[in-house]
Amino acid sequence: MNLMLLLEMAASNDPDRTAIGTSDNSVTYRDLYRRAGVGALYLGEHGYETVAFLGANSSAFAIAVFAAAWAGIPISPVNYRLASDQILSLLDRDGRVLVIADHELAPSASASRHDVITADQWLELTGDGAQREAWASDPDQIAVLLSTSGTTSKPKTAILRHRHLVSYVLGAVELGSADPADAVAVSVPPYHVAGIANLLTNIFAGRRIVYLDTFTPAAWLDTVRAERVTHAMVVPTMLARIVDALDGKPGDVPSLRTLSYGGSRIAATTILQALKLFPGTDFVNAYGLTETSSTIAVLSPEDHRAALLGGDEAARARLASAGRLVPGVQAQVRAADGTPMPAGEAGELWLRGEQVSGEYLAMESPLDENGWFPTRDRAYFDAEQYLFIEGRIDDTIIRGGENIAPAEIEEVLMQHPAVGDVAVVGVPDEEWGQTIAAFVVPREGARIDEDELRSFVRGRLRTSKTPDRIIESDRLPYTDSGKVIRRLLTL
Amino acid sequence: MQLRAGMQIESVISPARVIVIRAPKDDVEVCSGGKAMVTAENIPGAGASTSADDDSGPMLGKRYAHEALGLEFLCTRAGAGELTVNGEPLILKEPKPLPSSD
Repeated sequence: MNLMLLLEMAASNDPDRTAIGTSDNSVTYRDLYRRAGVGALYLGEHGYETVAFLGANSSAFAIAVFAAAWAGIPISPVNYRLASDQILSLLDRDGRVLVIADHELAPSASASRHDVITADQWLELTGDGAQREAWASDPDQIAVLLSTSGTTSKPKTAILRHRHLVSYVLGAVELGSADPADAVAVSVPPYHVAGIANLLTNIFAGRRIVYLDTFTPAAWLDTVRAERVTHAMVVPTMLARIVDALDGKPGDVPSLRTLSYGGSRIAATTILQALKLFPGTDFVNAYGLTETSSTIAVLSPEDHRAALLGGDEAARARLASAGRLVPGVQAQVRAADGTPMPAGEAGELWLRGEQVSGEYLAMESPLDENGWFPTRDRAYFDAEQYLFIEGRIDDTIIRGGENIAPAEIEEVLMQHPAVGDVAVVGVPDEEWGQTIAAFVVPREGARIDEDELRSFVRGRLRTSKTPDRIIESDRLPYTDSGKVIRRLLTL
Repeated sequence: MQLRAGMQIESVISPARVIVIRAPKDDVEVCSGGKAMVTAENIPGAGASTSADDDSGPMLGKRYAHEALGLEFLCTRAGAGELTVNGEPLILKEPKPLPSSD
């Protein structure tokens, strides 16, 4: 098992189809395959042990992913938006590393002790030449190294082996199932697991990938229209910005059949508005983690429609769920002492399956003796196996012995007209253990009245879930994937 | 042979190759065109093709299953020779694609 199996099959199936690019600048499957072989020979001949990719999504990135797989070495996409000292510390690894960097990032990478080439040089050197012989098929080889979000603690480096990623793709996608005219707009960065998953599944499906590096709502809408994009994946913050930018006007994207979103929680108001503004588009919510090779649960277009149209309360509530598990993934919800929880009761979500890795560099395996991975997400299943994610366990506020999920309070506060954005955290307190603090960003032109917000929450939730403190903020700290960095929210 | 998920096996009479998606617990005999298939790494001269107009074999990217045994293959290279398990032909599986989440 090797990622190259996916590309080989796709390239055999339809070599002349466009793999990546816009209508006037593109790479076919045949090109991608050939360049991966040339790149793999180069990597092998120079004795590289890792490829670090420091840049935005591009065909150079895709070639690097498959060349590394062919050469049997890991690729490590690095967050190029970090400050240069942080980039250098991520590049500080043992062994021979080839750093492929976007032109403007190459100078900061060159301060590392590794060889650095630009993405353009990489395209040039894979343009022509001999290919490496057959790739290794050891399924246990490391394919990709990714930093986790690290919103509550220091980021870790997750290991994804060839068998995890190949299992994910073969379980989720049919070879060549995309129509020749299909195109997907990808606006998640290459150092996010969704960026890797997008590349692999769309290559296998035969769907042309159009990369959008710098997301703005206008650029996204323009790209969807100009490239006749049929599929797109965004993180919730992007969808919220698109909805805001449309300001009640319809999306006007007739080509767009499917819009998937995931990566963090989405406000109910955002998704309800989006469904109205894109009436001809199927919505899919995907939930997964870096450690699970991306998606493990999906809320389908039918579920979205049932939530919009159905009078059934359970169907409506499911709009806030992550949907149902994908085939091949098993889940358990466990209490802190390990006891399995019945449907409807929350606990820690544990996962198992071929696509689940749960391993990190330089750390002991967190898997239990039966191969279950603790996600550190607090979750429950409803009576029909829909998965509801309440948030990170480490974010759970324990106030006077009561477990409180910040998401529930955030959801209520977001419904208040004066609230533009909000994050709720626990702050240490001598009497209660923790008390509840809400960091609130007022909507433009609105004023925050602390007492009014508190009674707004008290009227909808219990007194014990009413924020003890309301702190007005200009903005909240976010990761690129739209997760609030809670460890930065302190009094 | 004892199959496990992720394992690739090959025909000895054609380039046909499949990857195991779901494996039964017990040993099974897997044949292509009546000849036992072998683990992909161990085959010398792989890729040598046989009768090109024989369409009895697996097609690239298609899934083949034996539901009673809990077995599923995905064809990673097309080739001649009908696939059988314990003497019974495998059934071409209709794709049930998931909604695209990527």
